Amino acid sequence: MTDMDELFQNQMLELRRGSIVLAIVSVLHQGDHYGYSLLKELEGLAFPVEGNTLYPLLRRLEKQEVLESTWDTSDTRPRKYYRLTPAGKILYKRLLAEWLDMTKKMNHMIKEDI
Amino acid sequence: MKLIERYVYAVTKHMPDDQRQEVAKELRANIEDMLEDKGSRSEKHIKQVLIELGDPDVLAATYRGSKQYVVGPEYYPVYVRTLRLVAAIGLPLAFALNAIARVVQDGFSVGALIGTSVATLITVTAHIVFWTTLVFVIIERTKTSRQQAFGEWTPDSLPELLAKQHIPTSEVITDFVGYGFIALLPYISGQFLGYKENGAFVETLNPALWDWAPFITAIGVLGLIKAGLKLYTKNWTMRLASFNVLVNAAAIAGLLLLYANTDIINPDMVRVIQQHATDSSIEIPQIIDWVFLIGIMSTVCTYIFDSVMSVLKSRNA
Repeated sequence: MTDMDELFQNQMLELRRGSIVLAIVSVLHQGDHYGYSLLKELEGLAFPVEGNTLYPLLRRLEKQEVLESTWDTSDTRPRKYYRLTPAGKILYKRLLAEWLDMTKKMNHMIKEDI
Repeated sequence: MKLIERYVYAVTKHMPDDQRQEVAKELRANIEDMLEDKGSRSEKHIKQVLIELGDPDVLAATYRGSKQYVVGPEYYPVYVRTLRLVAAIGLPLAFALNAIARVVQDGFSVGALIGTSVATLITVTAHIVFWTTLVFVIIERTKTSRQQAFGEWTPDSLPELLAKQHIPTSEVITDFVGYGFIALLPYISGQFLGYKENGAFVETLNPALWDWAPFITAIGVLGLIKAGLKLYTKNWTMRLASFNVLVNAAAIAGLLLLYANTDIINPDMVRVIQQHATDSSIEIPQIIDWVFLIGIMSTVCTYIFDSVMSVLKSRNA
């Protein structure tokens, strides 16, 4: 990897890291998921997040009461389903507004180059 | 199957009880889901899944949300600054104290002095690094904000520009040597500074001075600390100048006290010199008195001049 590639990789990861939570809560806003199905869903939406990042993050968000979970034992195996709490829904709305505002400003800033 | 359990154990073993079971259950469920997707529970697939999840220690740390560094970027600059300050004061001090202890215990020997000095400096450096780091590890992990721990940064705390009141290294070296000599003087004088007469050693300085040994050494050590601070700040600052004035005042007071209370030169030495004088009409004690009076006066003047200059230099130019 050249220096330029590495520089780009690092900056891109920084950029993505800030939007992971928004991606997670937006998917969960559509419907409940267990860990792996959320991972697959994000992958399908071309926003892949590694399991070793996603699973601990879900746990953290649960602790912060953005998400709540229930163990579903009706299936062959127990699965932990996550859903947005009311606070989580508010967080999603606010993050979404911020995202739209930011992209609007950014698009305006770079309009010459698009 | 056993591989999975070993992995789960590796991730959860250091977690508190209430978390461990929940995380383990979660992790097992996730691994099973990932395996199902691969289509089989063969060892090859299990290994693939575990490799995807990565190093269990890293995963455990991510679950804990704990910091994966010793001192983070927020504190790193203060950490380095503190290390440098502690080293600049601690190392010269350790060197001086070790040298004094050596000479008092075993007498003066260059070899032993260098040997023990190197050993002492290595040990003290290790201690300084360890304890300073430990303090910062604790600060980093308690919820102290940087402002709480070190106060708000203000433009006033900016260092002075280097060119204006820069302290030359030569001055620092002179300080180290000079004050080191003063600190050691009470312990080496009886062995080196004198004259051998008929097999007996006559000390040049009055042995009665060494009743004051702790005070003389204390002034030397203060001077060494001053030299360390000079080395650290590299510039005259108000604080450094204040300390400089303090040390100089202590030195002047000490010098005058000794001069007023005791003969500086050993009376025996005066006798020896008188004996060797070719012209017996010369009054050696009187000459010595005059030389010392002039010497003391000029030393006091030098100290006062140095104090005033340091204060002037520390002012914003």
